[in-house]
Amino acid sequence: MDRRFAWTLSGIAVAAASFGAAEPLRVAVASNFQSALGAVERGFSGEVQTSYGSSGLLYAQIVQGRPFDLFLSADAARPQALVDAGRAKSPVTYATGRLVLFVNDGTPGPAWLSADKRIALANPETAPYGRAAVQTLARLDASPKQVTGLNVAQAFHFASSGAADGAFAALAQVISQDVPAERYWIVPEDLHTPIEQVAVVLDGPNEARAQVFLDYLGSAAARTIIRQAGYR
Amino acid sequence: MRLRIQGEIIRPTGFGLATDIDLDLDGVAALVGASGAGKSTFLRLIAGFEPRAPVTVEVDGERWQTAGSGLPAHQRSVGTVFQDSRLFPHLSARANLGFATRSRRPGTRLEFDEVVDFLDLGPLLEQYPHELSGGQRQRVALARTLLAPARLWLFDEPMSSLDPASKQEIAPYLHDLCRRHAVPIVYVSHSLPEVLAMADHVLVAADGWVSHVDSIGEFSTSFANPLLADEAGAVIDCRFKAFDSRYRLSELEFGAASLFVPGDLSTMGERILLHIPARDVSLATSRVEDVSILNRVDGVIDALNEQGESVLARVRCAEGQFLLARVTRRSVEELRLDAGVRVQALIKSVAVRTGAP
Amino acid sequence: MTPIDADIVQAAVVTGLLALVTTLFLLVLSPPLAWWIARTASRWRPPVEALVALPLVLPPTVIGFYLLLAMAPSGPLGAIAQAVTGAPLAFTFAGLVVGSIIYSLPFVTGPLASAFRTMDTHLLEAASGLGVGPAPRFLRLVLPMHRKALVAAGVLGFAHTVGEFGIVLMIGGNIPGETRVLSIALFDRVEMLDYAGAHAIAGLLLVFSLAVLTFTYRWLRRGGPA
Repeated sequence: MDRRFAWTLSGIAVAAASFGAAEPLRVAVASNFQSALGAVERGFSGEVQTSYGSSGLLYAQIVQGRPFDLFLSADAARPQALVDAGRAKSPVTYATGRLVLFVNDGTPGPAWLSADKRIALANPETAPYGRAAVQTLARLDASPKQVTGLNVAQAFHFASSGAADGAFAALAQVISQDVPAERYWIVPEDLHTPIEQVAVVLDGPNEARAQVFLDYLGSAAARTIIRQAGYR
Repeated sequence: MRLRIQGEIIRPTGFGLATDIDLDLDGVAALVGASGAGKSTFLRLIAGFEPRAPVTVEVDGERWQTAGSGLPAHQRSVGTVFQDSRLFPHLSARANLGFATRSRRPGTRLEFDEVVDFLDLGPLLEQYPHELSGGQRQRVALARTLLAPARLWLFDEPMSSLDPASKQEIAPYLHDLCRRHAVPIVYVSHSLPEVLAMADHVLVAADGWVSHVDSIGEFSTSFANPLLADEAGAVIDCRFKAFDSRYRLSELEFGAASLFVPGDLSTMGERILLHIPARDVSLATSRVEDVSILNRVDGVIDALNEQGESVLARVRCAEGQFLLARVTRRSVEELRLDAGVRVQALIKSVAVRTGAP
Repeated sequence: MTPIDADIVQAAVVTGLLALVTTLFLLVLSPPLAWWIARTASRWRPPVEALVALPLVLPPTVIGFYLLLAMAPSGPLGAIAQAVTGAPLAFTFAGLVVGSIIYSLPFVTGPLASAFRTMDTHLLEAASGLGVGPAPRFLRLVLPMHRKALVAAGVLGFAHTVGEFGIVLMIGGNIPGETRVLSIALFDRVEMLDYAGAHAIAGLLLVFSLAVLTFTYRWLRRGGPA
């Protein structure tokens, strides 16, 4: 047998073993929290491996057995479902989203939402921002034409591409996109139920480390970063 | 029809075709030459299937093609019959003919019923090409070409897959159509009898050069004739002299000699072309009187050409008039036949050419 | 609750209609395009061929991304639509048809072009020798001779449009009864944790695609003239 090949094999084996020993914390994160988490994570000492996706997709993967230690959902329903199923514990609201009305032209506000406007929003059936947008429209008794994106990110893209006149987006988005303040209106929270983003610790070998990270998210330092990113 | 073709095609494969022809085409022009000599390419040029060839094609003063541009094939009133039938496989024979009858280009249009009847296509009309035999397909293809309006017909061995009986029937019919409707034909043939029987002009393709032969008589007896083989024969130009009603023989004047042909030829005009196959001509070095052969012509051997077992002798009988005789090698030696030897040609059969000018 | 509800039925109707309209457009557009690709000696052939084949290699979301920009009122397609119909193209059924035509174009044009390439040019010569011009040659000779290839290409285009997701996702806007197609409805069901509904839709699409392809292959195998 080729000696160099044998060396290579044993090298791989050693690397694999050491990788297993320093396994990072595996966190499933709803996409809308991606930029905020990036900033928060830098202040955390442990190694964190994040996977982004829609809450629904991540939830489905968790149910199907993909190994995660912590789940930062964009809603409250899915984490609760995991708790109810006995697969997770300690649900905690780590962030509360703020809904904004982003517009291409004109002054954003309740008066802007006339019937001739086409507004994009996240799917109200699946996305908390979408549900909040529908509630807001109902409270304001406004009925612009609606187009639905998969999630709040796509709703924002529909408007920013010019295809729709405006969008109900997340404050976190317009902040991360450096959108000028006169282009959006922060929807008062009394117009919709709170957009609570709930995290849960998933059952498994790393529950303790997951709880440490979750506690860190609640620390004063982390809260400041999260607030600056557009959450409450 | 004035047909002028001038230019040169060079294919990437190296094969080339050059021609410079200016021809007053009436009747049938036979195009002969070895395979690969460029006969089909020559027809394709006229038909418009070589639109990019830098060749000038002019018909009755209309420029159909010149370097860099050409009238598309469908706008040239030329009907082409190919070696293969090229019937449209998804259509019945009748629908194939429909492509021709619906064509609206200018040109002579033949009667559907006449063509179908003559080519005996009635029972085949509802059949599809794959249900027809090779000969039947070729008859349908011939009809399809004849039914499309045309000013000129190009036939690329249209009868190669027909049985001899059909050939004998169809060839004169085509000749007759050509005369009746004054639509000239360029006709590729490998058969010397066919050419000698019906050609009014001969075009020869040899070594990538297509040229026009001035005299069919000269062509038929020239050893350079690419078709010269078993079926060699001479075409000679005679004058009608008299009809002997007692024996029902016509006497034709041929140089200083007379030829006797069965039947009354007085109605055929003054000039009559006869086709005399070489195998039906024997040679004698002394004058023979007491034989049953009526037609005996004096002449001088002009040249000999060995062809395998036998020898073709060209005999000059009059100014510019030649006969061909096929003799054995043994006869050549025993009779000491050679150029310059005086002979008497004994002619066992003559055929009057159909449609002589 | 039965897994097939009114929303799924409505999405199925939109999907079928979209595939049907798209296929009809493709069966008009593709044959001449495929013929040109198969026959031309033009130096424009490679770039045109590449453009047609682009959806084969490009993620549909890329096409959808640019289509959304093009269909915005300020974009070229959107401006044309606005001028002609007075309504923008994005988030409409018509917009989906445009996207689907682009998306399924190679699936109809490609097989047709390869079928056309193998056609015996002698038959075309025979037709032009009878005085038949290029357009009637194509309509009366080329198309009827390629009936099978046309049907196969049409079925492929239809089935492929039914399975479309990425472009609809980008330009559809998920409007029930107009732009919500089955594949989007399926995605929604998964997001909504309605796995029974998701199963119903996924199963429907699977059985449909399998049935269509089986039928087509069997039909193509059967003898008879092309």
